[in-house]
This record gives sequence, C-alpha cells and structure tokens, in this order.
Amino acid sequence: MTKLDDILQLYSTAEVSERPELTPESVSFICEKGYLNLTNVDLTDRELELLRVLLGEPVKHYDRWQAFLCGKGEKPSIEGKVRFILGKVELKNSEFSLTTWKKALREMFMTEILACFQLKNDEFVLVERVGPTSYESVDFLGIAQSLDAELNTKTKFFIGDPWPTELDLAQLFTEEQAMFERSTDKNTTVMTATKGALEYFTHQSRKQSYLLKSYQRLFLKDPQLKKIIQALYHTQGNTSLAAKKLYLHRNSLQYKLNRFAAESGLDVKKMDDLMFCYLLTL
Amino acid sequence: MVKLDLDHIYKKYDNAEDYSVTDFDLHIKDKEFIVFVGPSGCGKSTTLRMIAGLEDISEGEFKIDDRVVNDVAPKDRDIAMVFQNYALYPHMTVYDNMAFGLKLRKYSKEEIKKRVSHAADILGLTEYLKRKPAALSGGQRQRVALGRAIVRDAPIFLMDEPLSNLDAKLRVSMRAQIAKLHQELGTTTIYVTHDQTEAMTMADRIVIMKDGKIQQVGSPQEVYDDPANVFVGSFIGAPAMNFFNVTVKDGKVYDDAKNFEIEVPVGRLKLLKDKGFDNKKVIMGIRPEDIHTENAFLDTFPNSKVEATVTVSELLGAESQLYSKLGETEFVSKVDARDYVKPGTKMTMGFDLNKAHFFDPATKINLNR
Repeated sequence: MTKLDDILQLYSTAEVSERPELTPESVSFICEKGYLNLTNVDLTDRELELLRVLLGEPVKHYDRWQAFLCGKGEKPSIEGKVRFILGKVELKNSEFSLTTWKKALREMFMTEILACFQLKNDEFVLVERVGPTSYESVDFLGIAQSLDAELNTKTKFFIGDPWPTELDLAQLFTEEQAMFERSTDKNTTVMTATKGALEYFTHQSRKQSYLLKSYQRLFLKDPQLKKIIQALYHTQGNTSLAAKKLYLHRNSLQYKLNRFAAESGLDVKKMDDLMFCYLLTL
Repeated sequence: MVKLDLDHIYKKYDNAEDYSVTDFDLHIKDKEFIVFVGPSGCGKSTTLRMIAGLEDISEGEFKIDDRVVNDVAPKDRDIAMVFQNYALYPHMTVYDNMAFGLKLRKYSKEEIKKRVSHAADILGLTEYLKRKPAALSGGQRQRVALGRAIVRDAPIFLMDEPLSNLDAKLRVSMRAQIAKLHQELGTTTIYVTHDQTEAMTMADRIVIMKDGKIQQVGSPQEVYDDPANVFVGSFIGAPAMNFFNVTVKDGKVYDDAKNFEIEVPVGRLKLLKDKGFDNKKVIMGIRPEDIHTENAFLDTFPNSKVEATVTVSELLGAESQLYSKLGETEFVSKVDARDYVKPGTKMTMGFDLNKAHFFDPATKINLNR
C-alpha cells in the first residue's frame, strides 16, 4: 500500500484527479497519479503541515490562469496575444531544486510572464504575454541548454502558438498540452505546434490504417529510405540538398529514389507523394 | 592531470529501435583537444552529453583518471560545458551572467570576483562587465558564454558547436580565441562540430562519427591523407573527394561507359592485386588538388589523362575550382587560377593515381587497411 493509498483511506472525501480543485474550500497536492484533492474542512493546521512534509507545497489556488486553464475559473481579463510554453525538467542529476530552476528560467525572459505554475511532478506551464521581445522557438534551445549546463538538469520545451485572447484559450491550452504529451520524439529539446502537428493529428488513423502499414513494408528493403525521405521532406524536395545532408552522392540518392518509385509507384518529386511518403516515416 | 577513457560506450533511448551511439571506444590524454565531427544526428552531441552526465550511459564504462564515473552526478564530474545556442540572462550584466552559477553554488563574493575577473581578462571582456547582453555583439556574447564555463575552473571542457551561430568571419576569429584559451588554461577539451574545417584547424585528434559509430580517429593529417572509408574521404576535405566507380583491368582503371582509361601506377596496382581486385570493380577516390591541368604533369604522366567537359569554373583568387563531367559523373578539381576556363570547354586533365584511394565497393573500406 502506498503513501497515497494511506491518505485516501484516512480522508474519505479525498480524491485523485487529473486536475486540481482550485477553490477556496479545497487544497490540492501534486501526486504521482495527478492531483490529490481534499476539502479544507477535513484538515487541521497540523494535518496540513504533515501533508506538506509528505507531498510538498500545495497547489496555490489563487493562480487565476491555472484555475482558468484547468476549467475551474474565469478567464483573466487581458488583451493582445498570449502564448503557452509547456515544459518538462529532469532534476535527478541536479543539486538544485525545481524552485531554483524556475527562478533561473524566469530570469531568461524579457516579456511579461502572466503565470508560471506546475502541472505535474516534472511539468510546468508559463503563460506569456506575446510582445516584440518574445523569443523565437530556436531561442528556447539556447535557454534549455544554458539552464542545463548551469544546473545539471535536462529540460524540454513545447512552444505554443501566439493566440488572440478572444479565442477559447482553455481549449487551445488543452490541445497544445495533448500535442506535447503525444510528441514521440523524446530527444528533441524544443517542440512547436507546427513541428508536432502532423504526427498529432494523424496518430490515430495511422495506427489503424492497413494501407499505410502495407506501404511501410517497403522500408524494410532499404533501411536508409526512411532517412532519405525525411531529409527530402525537410529540404522541400531538393535532392541535391538532401544528398548533402545525408552525405550521399546525389547519383546514389537518385538511384535509390528511382528504385523506390518503381516498387511503390510513388514519385517524391510530386509534393503530394512526398508528403504521403513522409507520413509513412512517422 | 585528467585523462578520459570511454570504454565501449553504447546509448539507447527508451522505446528506441536502434542505438544512438554504438561501441564508442576512445582514450583521451591529459590536455588533449579532441574534436568529434560528423553530420547531424551522428551521435556526437549525445556522446558529449553522456560524458557530461546529462545522459545515462546504456552500456560500457566511462572513466575520469581511471575512476568509473557512469553513476557520478554531473556536479561531481568537474566538467564545464559551452553550447551553440547560448542564452544569456537579459536583465543581468556580463558580470552577473558569469557569476550566476557560482552564486547558486554559494561561492563567496571574493571568490566570485576573483574568478569572474580572471575569466574576463582572458576573454577581453573586462571593459564590458557592466554591460547587459543587448549591448554586446554576437562574438562578445559568445565570449560571455565561454566565460560562464571558465569561471567553473574545471579541468575538462565540453563544447557543443559553440561557433555554429556565428558568421564566417567571426567563426575564424573565435576559433583562434578558443585555441588560445585551450593553451592558456591547459584543460582537456572535447569539441563537437559538424564543420570539418573547424575540426582540421583546431584538433590534436579528430573523431569522425556517422550513425552513432566511430569511423576513424586520427590527427588531422592522418585522416586527410589516409581516410578509413568512403565516408571519411567524402567528409574531410573541402572541396570533397571525388569518387568514381571503376574497373581494374590490364593495369588500368576504366569507368563502365569507357569515358576514361587511366594507367595505375605500379605500387597502387600491386595493392589492388594483393587485395584481389584485379579485373574487379572498385571505388576510386581522388582529391581535387590531385587532378592536374598543368602541362608539366600531363607531359610527365601521359597515361593519366582524361578529357572532361568543364560545366562551372570558379575563380577564387590564387586558384580556380573546375566543376567538370566525365560522362555522367561530376567531379571537382582545384587548379591554378590561370587555368580558369569558360563553362562548356573541353579540357585535358591528369589524374594523379599515386595519390588516389581505392575502396571496396561492398564495405566502402579503404583497401590499404
């Protein structure tokens, strides 16, 4: 029986949920299964202190943005555009705490950070008011690398798109969060919505498609094909650039593509075919 | 003294099909400047991160001064890192940027001042210590990033493509700065780059990687003069080595379409025969500077001649680069500037096969191995 099971047994109104109960009558702690929500009336001060010792600081329920994005509060009044920056940080090799890491992260920004809250044990969210000094996604690679070099952490970011505040920001946040979770490229430090979009929106249908699986068998004949198609896709179909990227002679690359075309009927010089082939590599 | 031993290191990420790094075996001497070079995705940064302790090692042992450190936390390895995409704290001065890590580690004010001043002095940043990053040039910002590593006073430096974001001119001056830094500080340095020019100009030894595996380790001269395989031959050298698919027969090499036949010098022919490639296909590699247009060479070696069509001619000042075709095969030669010709010109060139390399078409390995 885990510590969490013990707590759930002791407090009959306690429950574990994916979202925190961000109301004045409740207190929420991050746990391994999401959030442990308890009502305040159940707890004395000493019990609350004991829970702090066992589970860490409770989620602060006055964070309006967290309340809103978790479906528990009103949308904060704001104009312009905002952006959600989601992240994961691994602290196992670090001598520093998450608090130090978050402090260092916030020091990196010149724009207004409207909110910074923890989502799960190692996941956090920044809500940024988008402005002229907002970082490009490539800058976040530098931020991650600098923090990691300084603090011996391992940081990953998902950079959402800038959204006008009149849109349904909670829905957009939920989808971007799902895209981040879905991202299968575990070695990429910075993901963006556009980078992850194709994989995210086609994931289910790709899993179920016999047609795609049948085409994918072609890759078994030449293990290099996947990399070739990905290189071609990322160079907009330019065979010379793709060959250079792969350190292949252009003639060798063309030979492989001709053979692939003969077997599959797919001509990667046509954008639709190239896009389809790229889908096969995901 | 700090030596590093990477004994048969492997790296496989969870849920990955393949290894990212396979059988990486390397022994680095104290104060050596080692460069890992290779295309994107070849595993060089992953290997660097394993050395730093930012990635777990899946198999093998990593030792610092004969102590196995696979499970030693990064903070206890005494390593400083510099990255390509440096990010400085925009609201802090240069001084505070360099001091930030030391402050977190609770160094005294006096010690911080001593280290930051020393690093600033080495890097020529003393007069900029009160400035903020926005007021610095790209080169100055990169020097601040170097400064953040220097203040750690670590005996091992790891640099992951630190110059890739700089323009060409700045890269050249920063290369010299880093080389000077290495001499002054006497640190054991591992430098990662995809740029073979950086590797050739900076390294004591170069480690060439592809698909997670070491292709060759050697001094710049060794890997240039004696590439282990086709990949190393094509990767090292600018312009790249030219490759031709040829058949060895009757003491000559021919391409399939008989666009050329060139006599193979006695010593090279012996190698080909000893390796069992007489009357067989091989891959012939020849560097641009070993293709000649001057009469002195053509007259001395009349059986080395080919007739090629120049498609592009680039005058670079002291020399020209001629992009030519033999049948359907394209190649580049580096010739004297006076041999600049108009595109479309047919030209007689001599291939110096004494300098050529022959590779097994199946394994791509250099036949002299």
